[in-house]
Amino acid sequence: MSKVTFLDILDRTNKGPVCETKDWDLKVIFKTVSEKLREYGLEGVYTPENPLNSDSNLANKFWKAGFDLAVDTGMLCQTTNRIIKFTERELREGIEEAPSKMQLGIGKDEFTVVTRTPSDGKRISTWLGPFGILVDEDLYIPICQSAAAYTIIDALIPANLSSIYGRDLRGGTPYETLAGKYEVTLQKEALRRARRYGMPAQGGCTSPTEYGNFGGVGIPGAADPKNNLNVALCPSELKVDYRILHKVAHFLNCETFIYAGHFSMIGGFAGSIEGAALTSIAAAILLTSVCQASFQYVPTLNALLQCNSSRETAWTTSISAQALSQNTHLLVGGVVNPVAGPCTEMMLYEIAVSALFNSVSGFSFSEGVRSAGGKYPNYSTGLESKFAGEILKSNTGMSRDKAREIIKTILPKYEQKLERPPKGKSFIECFDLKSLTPSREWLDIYDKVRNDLENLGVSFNTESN
Amino acid sequence: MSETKILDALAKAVIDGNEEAARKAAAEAINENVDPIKAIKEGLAKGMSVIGEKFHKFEVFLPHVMLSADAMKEAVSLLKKNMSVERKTEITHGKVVIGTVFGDIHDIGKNLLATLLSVEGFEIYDLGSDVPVKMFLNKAKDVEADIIAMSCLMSPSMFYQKDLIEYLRDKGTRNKYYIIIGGGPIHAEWAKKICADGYGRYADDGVDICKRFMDEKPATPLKEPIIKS
Repeated sequence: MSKVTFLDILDRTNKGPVCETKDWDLKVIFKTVSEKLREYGLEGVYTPENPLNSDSNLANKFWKAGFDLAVDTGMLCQTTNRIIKFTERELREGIEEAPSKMQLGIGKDEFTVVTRTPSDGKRISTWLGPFGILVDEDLYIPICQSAAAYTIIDALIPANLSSIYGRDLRGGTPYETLAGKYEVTLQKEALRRARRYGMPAQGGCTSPTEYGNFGGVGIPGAADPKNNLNVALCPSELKVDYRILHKVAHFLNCETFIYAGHFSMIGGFAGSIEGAALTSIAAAILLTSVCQASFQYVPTLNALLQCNSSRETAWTTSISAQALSQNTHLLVGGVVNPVAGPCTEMMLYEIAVSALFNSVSGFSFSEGVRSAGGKYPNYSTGLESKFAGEILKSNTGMSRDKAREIIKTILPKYEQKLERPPKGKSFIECFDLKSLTPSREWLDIYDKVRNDLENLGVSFNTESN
Repeated sequence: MSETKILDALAKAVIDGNEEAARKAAAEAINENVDPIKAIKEGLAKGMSVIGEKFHKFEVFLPHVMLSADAMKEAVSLLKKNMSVERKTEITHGKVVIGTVFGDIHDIGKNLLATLLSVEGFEIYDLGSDVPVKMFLNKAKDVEADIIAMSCLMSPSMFYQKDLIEYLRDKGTRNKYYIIIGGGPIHAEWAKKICADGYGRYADDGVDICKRFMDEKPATPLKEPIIKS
């Protein structure tokens, strides 16, 4: 939400300073991020021995540098090659105008997303499910249902359909427009079967372009825009284009809220580990105005490994979340993005690390679970979402120091395997299709890892949530 | 300046990502009659390999790698002007048309592969992101490409990789290009299913596969794709 209107944003995409994408990536972003890190004395503050920040002053310094970065750079519109710039005052007003709590869900599935601070013990909201995993048409309902059935999960992040009535679902085509509504219909059926009639979902999730949103949200029989996670995901670093702004325009026409996202890449155009934390903070600030967002998810990924369960991504996300939650009331979230697949111990340990740093660092919500990094069709089950939800919700009051020590014990269990992680098993190989329950093997792995984590001090007591 | 010093200057210019210094060092190499292939292999490529190693340890980052690649390209183009056609072919691995497929605007993986391929001596035609199938095909025809490389992060866009291959097959021109694919939702089974010639999980894997295409020159389409996952 912002005092700068969406029309102002569109005007700025036509009148802002001219900049080619390559110059933006190499000169504007990389150079400005490096300058800010130097100016604020933040270069090289990460050390591998400390995979989760617990220094609030350091997080506040990152906040100041990240805000400065947002003011200095703005965001690039790649369609027009012009920069959408803001004054400091506009960005501050944008943050002030943004909501500090939001009610989602209907009836017994209603919940409130609230502003949090690190280790505050307040409820974190869990938006989980087969997060964009490509799924066969006939498995779409059971895979979504397998996650939605767990009441620890507040909102469903659904799968991506691979086809529509047997036809390949090609992005940017009328297939995608048609699939928008079709996919929402399947999601509704999954929620009905799971008896989660009022659970919000991410209708239009399949959509890489605006067409899936046009077809799936706010038209008769499609997703109710007021109980849907209306996503506009921007590419890194700090870029947007008309396809994304089309989505924003559509959601505004539907008179609903916008859920914007941005991944910062360690090793990418933001540069260093500390640099990715800065662009993540700047993204949360800018998305509030550029995408008129009420919620933002601004995780960081390792550009080489494409995961957020590594040592440096844990630290980067923790400091970015703490910077934002200590200095704003924005409703900001992270993700759970393991690279190992279902039915492996590694996947659960990766999830434990991501869920812990998301939970104790002040995020208002967490998305997930992008099982096996989203690489393999049908490699997703509800059990990993339940597991993530349990850790997220049971450990919000844990001190950052304790979480760091636990994470330090878990990381060596899988770090060496992040580059070539185990693929694990597909849904039908480790979930019973009739009863929609995990296989004995998958449950045994869950029990073993849970037991190990409980011995380390991770709570699985979800009763208060 | 001695040959050793010139080679060192070429390597340093690449490590620093300094195009101007790379141009100067290349001009010096030409003036001092340094064998241009030696200048490339023992000067520029050495610098690039230092940058590659540093990138894997996150001691430098993608922008450094891209700037170093630009510096190297600049120097190579100067050195090539003084080479015979035969000698040019000694250092050119092949022509690659690369892009992120239609509907998808993510480009980090694609940029990385394009950069690493260019420093390995491939001639790169980078079409950017959100690239329609036709644009890949037109460019590949125009430049007489050896390889078409398609990246994809959003799963609904992965079908365009299949579309391109099927179009070539239906037109009877599938044997003209090696096709390599990669990206977040892309995996070995998909590469086999759509009859691609190669799939790499990481950019480095992609480079190895492209080098194998050009070194071994297997008939395309390959019966089984080269997989590095």
